[in-house]
Parts: sequence; structure tokens; C-alpha cells
Amino acid sequence: MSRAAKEYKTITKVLKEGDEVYSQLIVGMEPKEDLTRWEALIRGPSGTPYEGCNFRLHLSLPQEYPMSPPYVKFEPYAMPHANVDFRTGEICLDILTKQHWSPAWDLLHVVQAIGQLLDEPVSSSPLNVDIANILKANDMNAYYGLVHYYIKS
Amino acid sequence: MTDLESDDSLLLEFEDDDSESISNIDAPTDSKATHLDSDFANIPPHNVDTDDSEFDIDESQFSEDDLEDDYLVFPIKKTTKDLLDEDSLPSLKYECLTTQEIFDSMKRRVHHLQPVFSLPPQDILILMQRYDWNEERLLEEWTEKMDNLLIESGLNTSGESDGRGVKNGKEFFCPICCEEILTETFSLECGHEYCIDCYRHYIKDRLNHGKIITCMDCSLALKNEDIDQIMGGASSVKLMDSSIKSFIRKHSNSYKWCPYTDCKCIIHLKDTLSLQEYSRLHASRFVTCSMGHSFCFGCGFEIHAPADCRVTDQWVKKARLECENLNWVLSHTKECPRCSVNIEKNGGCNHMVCSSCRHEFCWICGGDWAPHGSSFYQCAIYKNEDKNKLVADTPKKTLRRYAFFYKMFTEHEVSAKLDWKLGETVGFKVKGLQEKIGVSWIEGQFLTESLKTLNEGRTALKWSFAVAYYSDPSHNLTKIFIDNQGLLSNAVESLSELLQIKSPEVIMKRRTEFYNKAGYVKNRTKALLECGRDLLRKGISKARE
Repeated sequence: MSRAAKEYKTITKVLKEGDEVYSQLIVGMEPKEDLTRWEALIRGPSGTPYEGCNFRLHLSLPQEYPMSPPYVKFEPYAMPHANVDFRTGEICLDILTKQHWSPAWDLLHVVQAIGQLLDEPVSSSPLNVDIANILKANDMNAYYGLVHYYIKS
Repeated sequence: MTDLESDDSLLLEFEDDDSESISNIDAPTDSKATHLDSDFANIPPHNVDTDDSEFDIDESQFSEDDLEDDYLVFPIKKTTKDLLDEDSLPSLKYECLTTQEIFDSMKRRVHHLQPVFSLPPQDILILMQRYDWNEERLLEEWTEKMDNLLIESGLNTSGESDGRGVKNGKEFFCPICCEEILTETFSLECGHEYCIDCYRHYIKDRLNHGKIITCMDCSLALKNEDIDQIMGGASSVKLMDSSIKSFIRKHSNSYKWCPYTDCKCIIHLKDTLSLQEYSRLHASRFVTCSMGHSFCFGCGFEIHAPADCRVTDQWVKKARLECENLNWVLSHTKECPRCSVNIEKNGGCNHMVCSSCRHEFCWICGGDWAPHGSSFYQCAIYKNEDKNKLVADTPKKTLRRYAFFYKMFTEHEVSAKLDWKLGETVGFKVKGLQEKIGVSWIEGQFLTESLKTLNEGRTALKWSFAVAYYSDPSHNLTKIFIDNQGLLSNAVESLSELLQIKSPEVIMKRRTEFYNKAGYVKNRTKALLECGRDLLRKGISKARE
């Protein structure tokens, strides 16, 4: 429990004082009910089709945290991204698997890694095949168009 | 006995002639190849790999055992042995190992490599793990990029070992669990220090993944001694075990787990070159692990000679599809053809004696036993009654044909299972011989040997029906094959009957009969296997949908 409390302190401190890395990305981040469930609002990185939009992330800490990675999802039906399942919001990211996770990382690392994923989608391990195919074909117009279409509707 | 033997040799000669003429006509290269093969087989199997002696333990042990058996208890086998040496197949070189043994041999490799790397063995072990125990690739990369390789593998290149290891109890704030307590801590040279409890949790999860475990915050690798120091005892054994297991998964061409339940043996096939030879000759690579489980290295199925893996696969798939159609046909009980009493078969032999009316009949055809006993065994022949009428195969007829072969297959499978039960009593019989008549254990082994021969004969017979089903029924060789089935079937039944004898006195009195019949079954089995392989080799028997 003290680990979660520590993270709570760090996160509120970072958000209050502003931090070079995180304040660019994180609009807000706060616990729900207890310290095992979190919600974060992240800003679409500039230079990507997500620019100008905010996306909601749901994070929850398993009993074994930090030995096991946290569960992280986007809001369902809100994130058109090659590595995100559109219907469930599930994210395919290696550091969120038990094999690659390290206990030395914390929630801020996770949110930062997801921000990076928005910037650099990996079309080789897609959860959204349509977008991944467009990316593979390197059709930037279609990519921007499709993402905007989803976000606006 | 002499009668039988001459009969046998005549038939063998006849076969040889036949195969010779066929290969001369349609494939002249074939006969040449067989000659080459026999040359190959004549090379004694022991004089090959002498350089890495740790790799040929089992092979030599195997044949020595066999030889011992030969001279001590089974004089007939000597002739069969000679016959086997003329076999045109290269002998299989394989060994049976455990993960521990594989790891031990890896450790020996590390010892050999030590002068090349001039690194501590623990570090070389890490490198080997990183390259999936592939020595050649490791050495190649090593000559290319020495230091980078060390860094990539998470080995400390600074030469200092300061700060590595478990540190004594002190007041410590661990950034993982965020507790400030009096505890032991661990860190590598990188200085990322965490409390021992967090490290234990972290390692415990990873021991089964078979991958190098690194520091929680960087890529520096934990060595086996670190793991043992943190976890206590020999926990790194578990990591090595899972690492070897993943090695086996990646080399499934030459390493196979024994498919028997709970068997931990791994078979390592050494000369993968012989594999091509085997599949060309439609023979299968049968191996036996050190627990005595025999299986086919190719398909992981039981011993299925004379069928090859393809025929076996097709046959098993077909049986699965058709079994619901046929199950009702093949119930386990039958009525006595004379008095209609229901009879359940309780022994492996097909010679039935009705307990109520004393009628003797054959379990398979239901006919009188008298014509079966001494003369030709009719039941193994599928009579193509409508041979003269050139009618296209109707589905009903194909099913009937299949039903016959499937019936024969299952009859022998059930018989084999009953023989297996019989086998459990053989141990007692040997004991009985020892206690009641004072026969020595080693002398009593002819019973065990006979049972083994019986089982081998039965299995060959069983699978021969799969081959026969896929054979062209009009071809001459198929007819010879069916004749061979009949002869083996006869031999197996009479041996099986012999093994049912309960009284130790009678068993000892008829001992020579055991020798003779078992020897005959052996020869017949071998003849059937060879004939079956010829069928497959010449394309007369072909697996098809």
C-alpha cells in the first residue's frame, strides 16, 4: 500500500509543480475511490492526427503491483489507433505484459510510454487492422482522415 | 521346427527375387541405392563420433544390452541379429537425456569455450543463454563485436565488481515497495539497490520464463550465483531447467519429449542426415527412452511399423471419422457359433473354447478352429469375392472393405491389450518357476522374452492392416504381404496360447517350444515389416484420403 501512497504523492507533486516531460502529455490524473484505480487524461501529441484532442485512460493496480504490471485501457469506442482495440480500449504494449514489465517502473512511466505509442504506432502488432494497414501502405492522408473521422463522430 | 524354418527361407528367397526383378524394370537406380545402403549398414555403428564422447552414451549401452541378452538367454536371437545387420537402414544414433543432463553437457561446453572468451564460466553461461545455447552463432558474433556483445548481454565490462551482491541488514528505503525497514538489500554493479524481499518476488516470477533475468532498472544480467545468493539454495537450477526447455522447443527437429504421461525423458537424435534416408525408405524412426517407452520420433505415435508416419496419420484420422459407424459392428462379446452363449474374450489368443458346449472356434471368423490350427490361417485374408466382376467401388463396398481392415486392426489391438494383462502374470510365473522348481531367475527370462516378442509381433500385425488397407489388392506383392500376415498371425496366436499355460511344470517341460515359437515369431515379424516397407517404397501402398 505504501507504494501506491508514494506514487500518489509523486504524481500530485509532478502535476502541481509542472514537469518538463509530463506536463506536455498529462492534462490530469487522479485516483478513483481508492489508490488502486486511476483515471488519466492525456493530450494528443503534436504532429500526430491526435493533436488537439484529449483521451481518457483507465489504470488499475493488481494486488501484486508493482511485481505485476498495471492494467491500462483507453475509454472504449474513443481511441482509433493501430495498437488499441477500438471497442474495448485495450492496449498492445510490451511493457504492460508480465514478461517485460519491471517493478522499477511506475504509473508515470506507463502513461509516458502510452504517449509515445500515440506518436509511434507499431503497425506490425495491430489491434486495429484497418489503421495498421493504412500505416503499412504509408498513406498519411487516409491515416489522418480515418482517425479524424473516428474522433469527431 | 525344421519344417517351419525351411518354409520361411523359401519365402524370403522368393521375396528377394521379386523385389530384384521389379526394381530392375521400373527403377534401375533403386537397386543400386539399396546396395549402397547395405554397405552403409555394414559399418559398425561404434566407430563414428569418437571426438565428443559425452554424446554417445545410450547407443553403445543399447547394443551391449542386446548382446548380453542374446548370449545369456536367447540363443535363437543370434541368427535374427545377423539378419538385422543386413538391414538396409542406417542405424539411428540417438540418446535419452534429462534436462539436467543437457545442462551438464552445456556446462562442459562452457568449460571448453573458456580459453576462447577468457571470461568467468558464469559469464559464458549468460552468453550461451542469450544465444539459445547455440555455440556457433555465439562464437561468430563474438569475433565480430566482442565488447558490444558483452554489453548487449548485460555483462559488466568495467572490470570492477564493487557493489555487487547482498548487503547486510540496514535501515533502507526501497523504491519498489516504498517501505523503510531494516532489511538486507541486493544490487549489481549498476548500483540499483532494492530490498531482498522485492528481489525475491521479482526473481520468483521469472524463473520459469527461461530468459536471462536482469536488474529491475537496467539491462545488467543476474548470474546464477546471484540468483542462488538471493533466493537461497539452488534456485538457479530452475531457471536453467526452463532455459533448456525453451531450447528443446526451438530444436524440435532433433529433440523430442517422450510422449508418455509423466515421462521426463528427452530423445536427442544425433545424425539428422539419416532422417532423409528413413523417409525415402518409408521406414520410421522408432526410439526407446531410458524408461523403456518406445515411440516414433517422427510423429510421436506408438510403434507403427510396417506403416510409415503418413499411413499411420491417415489411418488414425480415418478411424476417428469412421469409428461411430463401426463401433456397433465390433462389440466386445460374441455368441458361440454352436450354442449361442455369450462369450467375452479374456485372453489374447483367438483360439476360443466355449465353456458351455466345448466348441472350438476362431474368434475372428467364427469358424471351426480345426482348419486354422495346423494349416494356413485363413482369417488374415480379405477375400475380394467380386474380383471377377468389374464393378466400380460403391461407397457401401468401400466401407465394407474398410470395415474388414479396421476390424482386423482393432482385433489385434484388443488382443495386444489382453496380452499386456497376460504380461502382468508372467512376472508371477517366473517367480513361480523359481520357487516351485528352483529355476534360476535368469533361466526363467525366456518367458519375459517370449512375451516381448509376442507384443512386437502383435503391434506389427496390427499396423500391417493399415498398410494392407491402402495397398493395391491386385498387385502380386500385396498378395505376398497378406500371406506374410497370415503366417505371422498364425505364429503369434500359437505363441500367445503357449503363454497362457499356468502350471510351472508344464512351462518348463515345453521350454524349447517357447524358444522355437518366439524365434519363429521374430523372423516372421521381420519378414512382414520388410515386405510392408517394400509396398510403401514401390508405391503399391499409398496413403490417401
